[in-house]
Amino acid sequence: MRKLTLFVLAGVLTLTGPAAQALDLHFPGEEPREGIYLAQSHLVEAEPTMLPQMTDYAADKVQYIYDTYLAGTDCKGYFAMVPAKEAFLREGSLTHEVMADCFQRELPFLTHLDLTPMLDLGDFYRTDLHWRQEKLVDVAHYLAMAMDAWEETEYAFQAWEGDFFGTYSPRLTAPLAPDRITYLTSETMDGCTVTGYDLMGRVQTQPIYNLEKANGGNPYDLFLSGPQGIQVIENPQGPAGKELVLFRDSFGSSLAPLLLEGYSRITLVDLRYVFSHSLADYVEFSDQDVLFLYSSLLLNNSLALK
Amino acid sequence: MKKLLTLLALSAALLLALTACGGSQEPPQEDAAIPVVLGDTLGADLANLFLPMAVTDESATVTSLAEGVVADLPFETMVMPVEPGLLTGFGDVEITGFSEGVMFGPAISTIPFLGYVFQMEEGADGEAFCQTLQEYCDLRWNICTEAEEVTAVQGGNYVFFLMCPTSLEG
Repeated sequence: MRKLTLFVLAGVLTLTGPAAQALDLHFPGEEPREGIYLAQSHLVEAEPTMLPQMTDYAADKVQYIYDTYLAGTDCKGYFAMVPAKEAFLREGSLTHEVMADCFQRELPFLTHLDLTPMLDLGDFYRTDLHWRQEKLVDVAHYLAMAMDAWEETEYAFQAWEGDFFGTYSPRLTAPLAPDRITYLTSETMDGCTVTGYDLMGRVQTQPIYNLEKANGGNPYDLFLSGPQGIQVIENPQGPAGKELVLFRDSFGSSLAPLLLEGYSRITLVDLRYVFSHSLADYVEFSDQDVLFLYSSLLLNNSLALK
Repeated sequence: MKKLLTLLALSAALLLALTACGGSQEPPQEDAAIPVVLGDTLGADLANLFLPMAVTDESATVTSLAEGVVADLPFETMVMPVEPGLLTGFGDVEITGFSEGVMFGPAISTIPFLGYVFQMEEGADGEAFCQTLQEYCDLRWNICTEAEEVTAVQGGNYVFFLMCPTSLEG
């Protein structure tokens, strides 16, 4: 009880204003582990201290991409940032806002697309760090509108039937009830093909929604088969010549399918799994829309970008 | 495997000074034979490719050593020069004490595989350098995947560091 009391005090001292009221202050027989706490029925990870050198490194990496591949082309560049869940529980200067300011300052050739007004805690899984695809239609609409790639779409909501105990669940001995995964399908998606690479770097065809992966280790891998260095989604029904290159982390896996209507091809690039120096082997930059979509979690750990 | 056994036999026959560090490493024998990294994991196998090359090849460079280590891996690899400072896989800890270094890894793959070869600065403490690498490395450096083992060994004036799965099978 004494430990729990100490934690409660720590929670109140750490989080002020609405966050303090939001904190459930209740761990049934449980202590917080590794910075995970329960708030508004969500498992939330306390954001680590923002490291300016990581933001600088990320900006340098994007600058390298621009100088090496985009400069002199007709590509149009954008960036958007996904806040960590804790951003919706705190007031004041937030990590993702500081990072976004840095990007705007350092990378003036990119147009900032601010996703924050469209997101709240309920748009994320309760037990995981990722956002929920079924909550992202407005985000996709905003991004597509900004990139002049919006096409009206009718989605069917599909339920994955398994239990999704997100990445934060194992850090509590008494986990919350599992999340449910809903994914969106459309006639356009039915006609698309996805090409990626296996562990040994061999080309392979993949589904947009990989049920086999979902039933494996991490159900979020349902979306575009999980981590991938390069993936290309071809949409034969999309507007001819309209292409998107999406530099992304795992948040991009669930968002990209919702951008398909406006593009004939989407190339996803995860620089954790492919060297930026070898991108020319996989992508020919000419006149694509180029969107850098990263979570603040990754940007605060940006040395992972190769 | 034949290549590996040949290299192991060669290394055992050489009587050269070699400092070793790392939790998976056998201490040097009294007869000063080159120690080998014990075990049949991927990290041990690659460290045992590195050690004899680092000690016996007078023309070796950090690049040639890294290329030698990854030559027979079943995926295409890239070798990139690095400089002292922040390095992938070590969080916000600056890694210094080396004069030249390269990072190597799969050209395109989600395998949690990240390695370095460092040439130590003159008079640098290689054992302490290995310990620093082991202490500050992050097996989940890219957040979404996680390496299973860490290997850090010194051979001559070079240090080999690797985070990787214990096997590439399966």
